[in-house]
Amino acid sequence: MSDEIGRWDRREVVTRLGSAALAAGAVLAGVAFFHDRRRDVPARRKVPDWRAVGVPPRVVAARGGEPAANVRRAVAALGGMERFVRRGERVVVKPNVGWDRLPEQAANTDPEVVAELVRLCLAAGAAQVVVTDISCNDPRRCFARSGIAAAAAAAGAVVVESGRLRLVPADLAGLAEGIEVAEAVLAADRVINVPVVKHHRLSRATLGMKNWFGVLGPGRNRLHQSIHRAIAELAATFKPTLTVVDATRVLLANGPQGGSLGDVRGVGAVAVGTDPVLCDAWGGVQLGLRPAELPFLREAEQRGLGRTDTALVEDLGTA
Amino acid sequence: MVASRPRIGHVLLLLPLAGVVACLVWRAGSVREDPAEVLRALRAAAGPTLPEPSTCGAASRSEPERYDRETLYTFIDGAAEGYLARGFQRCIVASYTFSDSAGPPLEAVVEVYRFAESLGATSLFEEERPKGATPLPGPAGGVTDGTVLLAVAGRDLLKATVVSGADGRAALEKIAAAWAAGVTP
Repeated sequence: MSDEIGRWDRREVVTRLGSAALAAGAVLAGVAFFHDRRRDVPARRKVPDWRAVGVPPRVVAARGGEPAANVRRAVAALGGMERFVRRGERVVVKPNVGWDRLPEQAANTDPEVVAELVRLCLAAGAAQVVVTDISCNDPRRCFARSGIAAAAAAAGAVVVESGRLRLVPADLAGLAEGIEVAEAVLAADRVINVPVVKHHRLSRATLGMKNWFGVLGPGRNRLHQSIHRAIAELAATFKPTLTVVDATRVLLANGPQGGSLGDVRGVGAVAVGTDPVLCDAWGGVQLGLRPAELPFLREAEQRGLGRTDTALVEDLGTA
Repeated sequence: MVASRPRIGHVLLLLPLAGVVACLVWRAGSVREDPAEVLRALRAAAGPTLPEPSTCGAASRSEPERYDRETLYTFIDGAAEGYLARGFQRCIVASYTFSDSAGPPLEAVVEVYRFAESLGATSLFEEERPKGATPLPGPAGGVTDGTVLLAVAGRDLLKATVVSGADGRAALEKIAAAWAAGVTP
């Protein structure tokens, strides 16, 4: 063998090495070309904890004024937005923009509540405020009809409809495992959850903890099979900087989509807090439901995610 | 080569063919259906239908969207379970725009849901009936509160929701009448 190699001249060596390199290259190119990328499992992103450090759990409610004034009063009572949003941070405001409905139909968060939060965040020094949600109906129509696209943009926010959101695998446990999450939300430094108070035919009420459905991608419908457990699990995963419960108008029946103005009651109140469970308990009361009537509240309290005693809510009274 | 002239035998060979043609023409005439009936039957088999914009006085209609049991949640996630539990089969949805020179355009989203049994449609009709809704005049049936219209025909539930600010009672009444006229009993 070594004798044979010893007889090769330089030209033959170069030719043989070149052929070998060519063959290896062809094999590698084939592997790269035919490799099934769908079987690659990208890393699951961790869901950040967006809560402000050192802030105790509190909920403050304001009523009687315009929606924006109620937001301002409640946030001020909690120490101002500067306590929650720092200069240069990127904030996501997550309202409920699920339905192709007018503000008067109370299926979506009031646009003035959203706009005021955007203004407060920017005034506190936020580098960018993104307003987004994954709608149920056509997202373009939902954002336009709800008035949220126009109000939030006018207030200085970047409005991102669900059609423009990128979904990524996230570290979700329980029933939501495997469902993708909006990357814009996961990338935020702070997240403010802004649900509207309304009836829901499965969970009886859709409030802040249920509002996390709106950051989930396809497959979220399966969570409806065990809705109370799913809501509590989402609350254990997504820990917002603030929850702002909009009860400017309350949809009392035929939720979540609503439509009839006869199902809407003007309450004119907003609650802002750092205890998401207590915020939802307060929202349930605006619908005429005691916390004990909402199983997801009980489950969330048992998991240690917050309290359900609505006597703990600090009511600022009427403006 | 000598060309043979047609003989009586050749003509007789054509007789069976002429008979078959005559038979087909006769049978086609005897089983011919009313085209309107055929169209109605085809539509009923295919699924629920929306009224044509012209029949309800609408200026335009968006491209209809269709959903079935697998995809309903992409349209009404959160509300879909109530429909599925009642035997929902499929639905069709479109947005109608009514232009009136006296005011701004009125827009209504019209949804027609088909269920396996009429009980599914009537059950949802009762559940979603708006407070203060009054019966619609005329043969169309249904109820409206000026914002939401609900009507039932057989296994189909019509739901129309006004999503622009104007009072929509007149437009909703026209939608109900046009839909009822086009529905197969």
